[in-house]
Amino acid sequence: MDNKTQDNTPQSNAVVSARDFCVYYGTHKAVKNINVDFARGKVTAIIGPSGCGKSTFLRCINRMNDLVDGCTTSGKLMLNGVDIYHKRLDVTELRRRVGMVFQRPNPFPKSIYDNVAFGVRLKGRIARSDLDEIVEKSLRGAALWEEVKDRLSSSALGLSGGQQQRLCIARALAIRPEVLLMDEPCSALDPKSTARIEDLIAELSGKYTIAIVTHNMQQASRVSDNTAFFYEGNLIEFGETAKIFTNPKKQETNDYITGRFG
Amino acid sequence: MNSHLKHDLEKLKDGLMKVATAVEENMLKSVKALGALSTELGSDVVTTDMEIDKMEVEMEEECLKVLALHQPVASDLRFVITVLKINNELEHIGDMAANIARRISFLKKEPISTIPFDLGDMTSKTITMLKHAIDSFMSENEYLALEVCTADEEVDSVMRECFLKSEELLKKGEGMGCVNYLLVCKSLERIADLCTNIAEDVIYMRHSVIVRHNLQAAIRALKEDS
Repeated sequence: MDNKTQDNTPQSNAVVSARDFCVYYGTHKAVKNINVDFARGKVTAIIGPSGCGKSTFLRCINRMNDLVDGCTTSGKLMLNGVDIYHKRLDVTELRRRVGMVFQRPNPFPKSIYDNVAFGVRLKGRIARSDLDEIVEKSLRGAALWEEVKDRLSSSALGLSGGQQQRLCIARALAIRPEVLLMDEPCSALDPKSTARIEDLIAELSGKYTIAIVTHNMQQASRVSDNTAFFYEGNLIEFGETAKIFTNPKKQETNDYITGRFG
Repeated sequence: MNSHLKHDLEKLKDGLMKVATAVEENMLKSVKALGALSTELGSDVVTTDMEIDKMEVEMEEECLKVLALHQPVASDLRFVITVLKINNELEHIGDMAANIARRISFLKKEPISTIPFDLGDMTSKTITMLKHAIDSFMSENEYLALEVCTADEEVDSVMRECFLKSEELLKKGEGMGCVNYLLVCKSLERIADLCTNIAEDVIYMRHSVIVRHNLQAAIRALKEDS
């Protein structure tokens, strides 16, 4: 994709927009001049071989990379038209609006209820009945309620891997994010749990803007509306998933998704 | 590419080559049988067609296996889909060759003073189309495929002449002999259509554009990519 020639104005339905966006680790340019829009309510899969910059780009969307020494950025990365890297931006508020689910489920060593309520409580005092409602709604949203409703006070660590991952999604949903970032959310799960998470992504699409990094081509093709292919820090191709997986425009994309390299 | 997938895709190509060779040989044999009005050779064609039917089913099973086991995408997906479709077209061509062969006994029963149509021209055009259609797939040559699509119009035009001639002959009182030859022409014309389908499948495989029913789209697709 010719990143330079794209129109600089974010599309009207764009929630996340990158314009000439670069990420550096020290002097190494890990993400190069990215121009892309993630549309509202759509699921975007980010694919590419290891080290191509896809997770680095994803982590910039809620500024997780601030925690990495020597990581700097240039260009613009916007959430609803507001510069994510603006110096006066409230990063905590950004992370509330942009939730994240990681490769391995990381529940807190607390009860199931407290895990989901954690982020909500951080925002300030809240009536128990309201909190109960949020917890139930979030667990239902993450398709976990029926499995845990009778043991909300049990430790989250007693749940299976797949359930823990859905709990982490419920925890992210509880603070009502606009965007959900998923960094290989199924790579540590068995096929059945993976299928549950994929079903869940389908249910969440439309309500949330989702960006998912995955090494699993079939998963990318199953769950996403759009696909972005990264290679060596460049966004090679971005487009409708159905098109990317039947008729990619770039030879590199074709070679990667057909397993000829990477 | 995953070496298992590569191996299986090569196997599909080899398998389709075998079906194509069997169909082409049977078609040539059928034309030969027609020229000699040999029912013996004709019955050989019908027997071979049953083997082709079995080969078609086996090839389809192989394609389904590759789809299920490898879930190919992009150019690999288009390749498997193309093999699946061409396999089916070839089997239909086999059926048409058998139809021509079956007509021979009727032609013998209802002899005709002179063959009313230029069958030689029509068969040679159709055989060339079949050869080129198969070659275009094997060599992944979409330009050769486009030539096949264009050639179909010539065969259609010959077919139209055959209809007009038959109308005349039937008015003059020529009986079933004329109708039988017309049915042979119809089978040849159908083979030409099926060759065009193969060529369109090849263009899809190479350019991911479905050009069926629209030759102009095929020409545009090739121009855009050249």
